[in-house]
Amino acid sequence: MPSFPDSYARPTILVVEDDQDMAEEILAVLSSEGYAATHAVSGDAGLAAIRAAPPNLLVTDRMLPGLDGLALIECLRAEGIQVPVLVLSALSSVDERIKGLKAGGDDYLTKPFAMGELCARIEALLRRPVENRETMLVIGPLKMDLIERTVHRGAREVELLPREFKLLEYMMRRPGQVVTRSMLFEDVWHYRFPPRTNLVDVHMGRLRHKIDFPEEPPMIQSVPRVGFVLNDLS
Amino acid sequence: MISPKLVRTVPFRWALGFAVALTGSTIAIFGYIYWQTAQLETQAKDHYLEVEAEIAVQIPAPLLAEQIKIRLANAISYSLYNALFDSQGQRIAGNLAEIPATLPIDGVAHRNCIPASMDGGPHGDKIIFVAQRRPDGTVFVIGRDLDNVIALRDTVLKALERGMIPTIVLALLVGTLMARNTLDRIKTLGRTIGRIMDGDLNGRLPVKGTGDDLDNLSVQVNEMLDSIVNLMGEIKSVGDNIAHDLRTPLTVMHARLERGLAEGGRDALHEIIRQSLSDLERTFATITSLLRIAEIENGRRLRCVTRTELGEILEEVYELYEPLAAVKTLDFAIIHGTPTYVEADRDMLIEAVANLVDNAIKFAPTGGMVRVELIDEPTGPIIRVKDNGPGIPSAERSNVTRRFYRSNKSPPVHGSGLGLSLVTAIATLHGFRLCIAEVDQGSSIEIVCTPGKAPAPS
Repeated sequence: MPSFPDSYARPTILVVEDDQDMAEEILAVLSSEGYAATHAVSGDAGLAAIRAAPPNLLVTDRMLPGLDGLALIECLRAEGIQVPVLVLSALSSVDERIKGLKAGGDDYLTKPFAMGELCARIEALLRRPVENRETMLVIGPLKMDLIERTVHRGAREVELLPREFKLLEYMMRRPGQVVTRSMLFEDVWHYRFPPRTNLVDVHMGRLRHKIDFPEEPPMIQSVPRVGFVLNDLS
Repeated sequence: MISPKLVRTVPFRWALGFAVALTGSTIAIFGYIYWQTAQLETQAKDHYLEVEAEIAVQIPAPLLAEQIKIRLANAISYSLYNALFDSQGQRIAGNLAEIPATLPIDGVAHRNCIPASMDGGPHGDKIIFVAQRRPDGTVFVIGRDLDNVIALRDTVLKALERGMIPTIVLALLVGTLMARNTLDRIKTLGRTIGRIMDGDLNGRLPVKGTGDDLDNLSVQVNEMLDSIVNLMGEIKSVGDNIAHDLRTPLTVMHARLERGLAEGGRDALHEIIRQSLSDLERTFATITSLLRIAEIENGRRLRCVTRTELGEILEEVYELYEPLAAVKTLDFAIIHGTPTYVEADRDMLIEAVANLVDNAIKFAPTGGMVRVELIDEPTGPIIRVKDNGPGIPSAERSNVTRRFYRSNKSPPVHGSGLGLSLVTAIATLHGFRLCIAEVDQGSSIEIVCTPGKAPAPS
């Protein structure tokens, strides 16, 4: 879970959601995660709030009375406000998802969803990995050479299959950040259909087996009901 | 009597068209007969007059003049005009004042020469004349009108009139009757359709069994209604199944939470919440699968069809599921030969094959076998997924592609029961078929593809 030192301003999140119960739950979870979350009940109210004080992130429902979620995002983008946006929607089809992302949304989460998934995706948007040009990723004792395609934990070389390498690279670009099963399935495998059974867990289990030897402190940890996190052991 | 609605009907228009065509063809036939007969009649007249003139040349002039007088006086001649003129063109005898101006004196029949009648007798443009110069220089002129040709024309017109009018009236009458009949049937169809639109889905269009166009259309509409009723039944059963699949875990959850509230121990409460969350996740997965099937079925079209190599799909699914198979110590392998191409949405096809492999791994016993084979048949490639699990009894094979169906024989394995429905939906969208093959042991499920174009030479 993310932690923010007192000296560090808490990220602000505006939640635009017309369902009061849903909004309350989201706000409660976001507050407990350490975010400064505020709420707007309609697209118009949301737009006014953002114009007054742009938040670090916007979470908006897709279908809203008056100005709907997509129109809200289009307004923001037209005004040059580049706040990252997570769209929540009961419309799950690929077409709807594409519409949401085309309108300027940065991620799209379909209802019903688990709060853990919501938090993980918010965190991912707030801490978007910088696509830098470095050829070496280093997290604690873990070193990944992107040119040589090699991985070392300390002095020990870790032999990985191509998919395991991609999986680890994805985790190493997001250290300390919770990644969910569906994020991995979408971003590492590039599949849009929901992962079945414990598929991602099994792949992650194999990777963990290679990264964390029994005598070594574990770097890859499971976050119950949500996903996985790579710790830098610091 | 004839309403505009009736006139607009197809049978009435056909009858009208028929009447017009019949009239046209009858006029053409009668016209031809008239023309041919008139032609013959005129030729006979020409010939007669020419012969008469030839004979008259042989007779001495005074006798001829006498004959002309007798003929005209007694009106016994076939010819109407008889006259003899001297070499100066002065009349010697007969009923013509002078030789018709444009008539050549050549012993040949000529028409349309205007005669100057002496006694105001009938003359007009329908007269044939022959003028012949005699050896003594006198000129004999004989002429006749075409009265029987005109009589023939009158007869033909009368016959046309008496024959055609009843024909046209009869055609219009039959057309009206047929149009009424059609209109009545269409009204009945309209009423039935109205009832169906109002919700009486058991209503069917009347079929007379005559096999005519309306009957055929009614049969097709009835078949369409049957299929709509079936689909609605399916939707209803899906609705029932959703209710079952969602209500059951929700009821369990409700009961658990109530128990938690009553008992209240911290650890017990924790366990109850954990179980409830797990149930909720299951219901989420069910909803997601249902929406996905609905999306595929309602899509009715493929978004990104590309030439897809099936071997690559199999390799990708193998890579995805190999760790899962290893956990169950399954003998898991894929078998494919030369590159085989189909036109398909690659992601959807992976989803379909992944579903079949997921099922096979789920149902194969620990240490069992799962095979994914690509068979290149002349009719098209087949993707076959086999396992040595409990298999699908032949009686249940047609049911397993229905939504929510779970085989009675299946061991208690968690699943939404939607996997094969999803694969069926994807296969159908591509024009492929899902086949459940007859095997002695385990199950063998095939996606029978239609062949794609061969790769373009590079």
